[in-house]
Amino acid sequence: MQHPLLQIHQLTRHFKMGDRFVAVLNNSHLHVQKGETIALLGRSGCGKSTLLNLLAGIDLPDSGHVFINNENLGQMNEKTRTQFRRRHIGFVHQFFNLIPTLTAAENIALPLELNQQSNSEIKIRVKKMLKEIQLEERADDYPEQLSGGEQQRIALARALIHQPMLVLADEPTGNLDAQTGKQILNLLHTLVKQMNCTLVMVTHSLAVARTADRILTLDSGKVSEQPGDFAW
Amino acid sequence: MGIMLGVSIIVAVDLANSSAQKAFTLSLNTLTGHASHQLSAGPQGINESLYAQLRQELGLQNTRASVSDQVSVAGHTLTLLGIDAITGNSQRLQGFQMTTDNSSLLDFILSPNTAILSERTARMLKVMPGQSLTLNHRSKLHQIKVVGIFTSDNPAASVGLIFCDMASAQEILGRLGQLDHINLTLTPGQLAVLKTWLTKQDHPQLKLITSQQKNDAIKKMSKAFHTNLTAMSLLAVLVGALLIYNCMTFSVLQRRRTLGILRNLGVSKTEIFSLILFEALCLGVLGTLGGLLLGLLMGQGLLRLVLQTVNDLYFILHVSEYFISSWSLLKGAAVGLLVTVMAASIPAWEATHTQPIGVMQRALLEKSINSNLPKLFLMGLALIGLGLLLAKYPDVTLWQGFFSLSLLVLGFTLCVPQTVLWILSRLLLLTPYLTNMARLILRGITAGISRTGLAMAALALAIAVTIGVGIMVESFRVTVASWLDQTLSGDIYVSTAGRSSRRNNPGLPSSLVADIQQLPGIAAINTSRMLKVETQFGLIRLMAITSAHEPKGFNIKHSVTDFRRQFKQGKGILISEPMAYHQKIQLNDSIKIQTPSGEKPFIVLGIFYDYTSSLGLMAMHRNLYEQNWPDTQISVLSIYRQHDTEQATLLKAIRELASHHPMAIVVRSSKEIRQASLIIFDRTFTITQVLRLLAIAVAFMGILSALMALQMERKKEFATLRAIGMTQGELRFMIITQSMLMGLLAGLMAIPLGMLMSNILIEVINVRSFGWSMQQIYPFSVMWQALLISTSAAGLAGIYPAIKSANAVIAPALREE
Repeated sequence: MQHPLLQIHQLTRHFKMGDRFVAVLNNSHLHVQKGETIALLGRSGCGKSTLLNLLAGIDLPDSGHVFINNENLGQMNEKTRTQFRRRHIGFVHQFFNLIPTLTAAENIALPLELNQQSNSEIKIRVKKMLKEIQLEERADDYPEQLSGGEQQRIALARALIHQPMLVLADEPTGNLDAQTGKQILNLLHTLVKQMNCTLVMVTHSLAVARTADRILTLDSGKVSEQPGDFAW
Repeated sequence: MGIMLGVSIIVAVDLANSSAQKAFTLSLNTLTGHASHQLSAGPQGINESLYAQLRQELGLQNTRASVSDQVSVAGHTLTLLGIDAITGNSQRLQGFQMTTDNSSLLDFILSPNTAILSERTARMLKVMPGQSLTLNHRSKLHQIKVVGIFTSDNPAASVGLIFCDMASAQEILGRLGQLDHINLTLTPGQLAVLKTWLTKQDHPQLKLITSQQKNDAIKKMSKAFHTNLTAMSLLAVLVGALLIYNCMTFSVLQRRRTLGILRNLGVSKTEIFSLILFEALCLGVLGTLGGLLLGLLMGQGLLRLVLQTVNDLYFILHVSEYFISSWSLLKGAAVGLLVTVMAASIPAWEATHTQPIGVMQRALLEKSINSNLPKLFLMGLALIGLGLLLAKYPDVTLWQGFFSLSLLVLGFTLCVPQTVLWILSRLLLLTPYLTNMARLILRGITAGISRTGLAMAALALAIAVTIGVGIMVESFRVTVASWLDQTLSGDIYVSTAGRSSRRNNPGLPSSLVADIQQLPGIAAINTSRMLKVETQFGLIRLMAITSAHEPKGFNIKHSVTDFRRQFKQGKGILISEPMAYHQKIQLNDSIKIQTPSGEKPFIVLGIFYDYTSSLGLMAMHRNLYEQNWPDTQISVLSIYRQHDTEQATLLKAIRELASHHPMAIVVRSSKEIRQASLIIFDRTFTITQVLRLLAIAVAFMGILSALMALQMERKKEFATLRAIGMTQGELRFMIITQSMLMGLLAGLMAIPLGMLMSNILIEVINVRSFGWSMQQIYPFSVMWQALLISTSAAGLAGIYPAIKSANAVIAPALREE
């Protein structure tokens, strides 16, 4: 049987709230196969983003392990974990998080540059990606000159340009109107499929979640395949 | 911290300046007492019989005779003051109470070589009544017995004074039968009687002046120095204000989000504005209190340097007390609080007029600031032009000079942001060839120009000050060194010790001069007589020189035609450049000098460069001198050796001859004199170096707080870069490189400003302050040192923000709106 691309094992993460510790993740398990798209549903504050941050190695668990392609993130030091992230993970944020001082094309090129790709290679791939997201004519514009939808398309392109194994999306349509959100979602799935990436998408919208291959819920610190009550 | 440092610099410079001025006034008052008039007869002194005549014939009982000079005791330079203890109600001893019994006062009056000291002086010298002190006066040692200790209403004024009875003081100071001057407290009637009496006396050199005139003349000498210090304290206010502004901006930025939430909850703009200002006031009070304490400590160190310079350049002040002026503290506190509130009002306005919705809005704010930068640039250029025009205006005063310097500084500050944008936009033309890291570094500076521009302006200003002052000091040093080379044309110089004393020295023993002339290996000997003479401009040094010496050793600035011949023929004198400048003396003007046969005019034939003193120096031919002064003594011998004679051998032989004479004689090679002169020169500029370092420290704090503000605003951007895969090391590298680039740019921009500043300092301020003109050189070392300081200071300032940003928790920043 093929190894899962992403595994979490007995993952626990507490946060201090006032005088007490609250378990946001409590002994959680998860297996995601390569090429799968996963939607993670949960109430606000249930720990969805925390889980995403743990998967990206941005945050560290109190106990338990995160394996990506059989590599244990917890056993890596900060530098190795960051280098692993830059090579194998793409991140899409709710608030786009583009670098305001770089143009659209330069924002997209950032992961390739961090991965030491040659200039000519970067040029070709960015051009191709801009064509994919239909923003070729906005290549030299700065983020402030772009609409919300355009910014998120650039953010998608940046997350996928280096063909990561795993794409993590934190409420990718949360800051967009329904119509634009739908377009972004379609684009995300298209690109993920095209590049044969694995997607873990955090959302609180069932409609968005239904576009994924599998829906998981996060409740009381546990990840489960139960659809649960989606009336949040 | 920022407020504290800003206030401390203002207070420290101000306290050092006011303490030095007070020390000056106290030194003068202690020596002259509270007399209304002073009777003097120039450096040769007054015969003490005149004192008795005044008391007995004219019945002037409120009259004090005075003899004083510097002596050294256990490494301390003190003033030995002869007092007439027998006549009682001594003005000088007013307010003094003896701590020892009355028999000690009797001892003081009756026994020779006894002294009384103030409590503080005794503590300083670690001496008790009954113990002896060894005084060194012009290298001659004298033993005196301390018979009493006194306290005073104003203890500071009597520190450094040794009181001896008149006869003992005259003996120790080699002034038997002579007085320096007589201080008188006169009623209008007594004044009229005295004036009439004086006209009948055959003492043309006797001069009666008011004490005020005397003090004013002395104070005038160091006025320029204190003006320069005052200007420095104003600069400290400016730099301190800039620092406080940066600090307050940072403080407001830290809570921009909270303030935004408060506004969304319905708190009005005015309420937020008042909240920030109130908070600023609280911070201001705390920072100001800390600043006052720190300023008090720093001021003490600065005062030592200021007094050292005054003592080197002007005269020995026996008062070195640190006076804590409430006015200085009040000024520091007022500036601290006012500037804090004013500085906080700018970020407060910003906080109330922008929505805290993240970096995008920040970019829009920057854009609106950017659109105003060309206008500011043009205004800056206009101010620079005006400043330069004013500086070049003939007859510009010292304060106008400082004003033109301020215009230059202000104009430059306004030009910095636009210039930075222009330079970086040129660099960004290379975008296709740059990495994103390089683009991020460059655009990070342009994107936050409201912060980076100000920080770079502050840094550039501080660096420009270091360049300007560096060029000035270096130019001055080169000028003085080349002047020394030209002036010290002899190989060996022999002189009497204690030439810095206020009184004229006895000359070299004639037997020594004759013995030296007999030594083998000497090619030629020039002689000169140095003394102080009374002129219409006060006491000025006069140098009477022999023909062979003239005027080869002088570096002539202006002269009448054929001045060499006229000088040899005794048709006039030469004067130094500072004297000509300060007293507005031109060629062919005449100077009235008090000679033993009365006041006589001497025509000015030439003006020579001289850097020994800013107070003035006159030179006349020995023949002319001997025609007017019955004095054949020689103060200095400049000896030229034969080419085949070893300097060390000759030096040893002369020292051997000098050692046979009881009086202290200094034998030095021209090289030793040159070295000693340059040591004093460097010591004089220690305070300047300290102030330069302070300016850099303040600029460092300025750039640090600006970077902290910038890093805070770019928190989300950095978190995103980290999420994408930028390592902590890469982020640290990026921030420090950006900071160093800012430092490099600031350093580059500081070079032209520093050069212009040095030009004004050399051409205007230095000339107005000291009367010295100097060649202007632009040493490459000053430039590259400035670039190095600027880049490394900025790099160092970037370390903390870089570490803080790299170690910041990423996740919360990523979800910030």
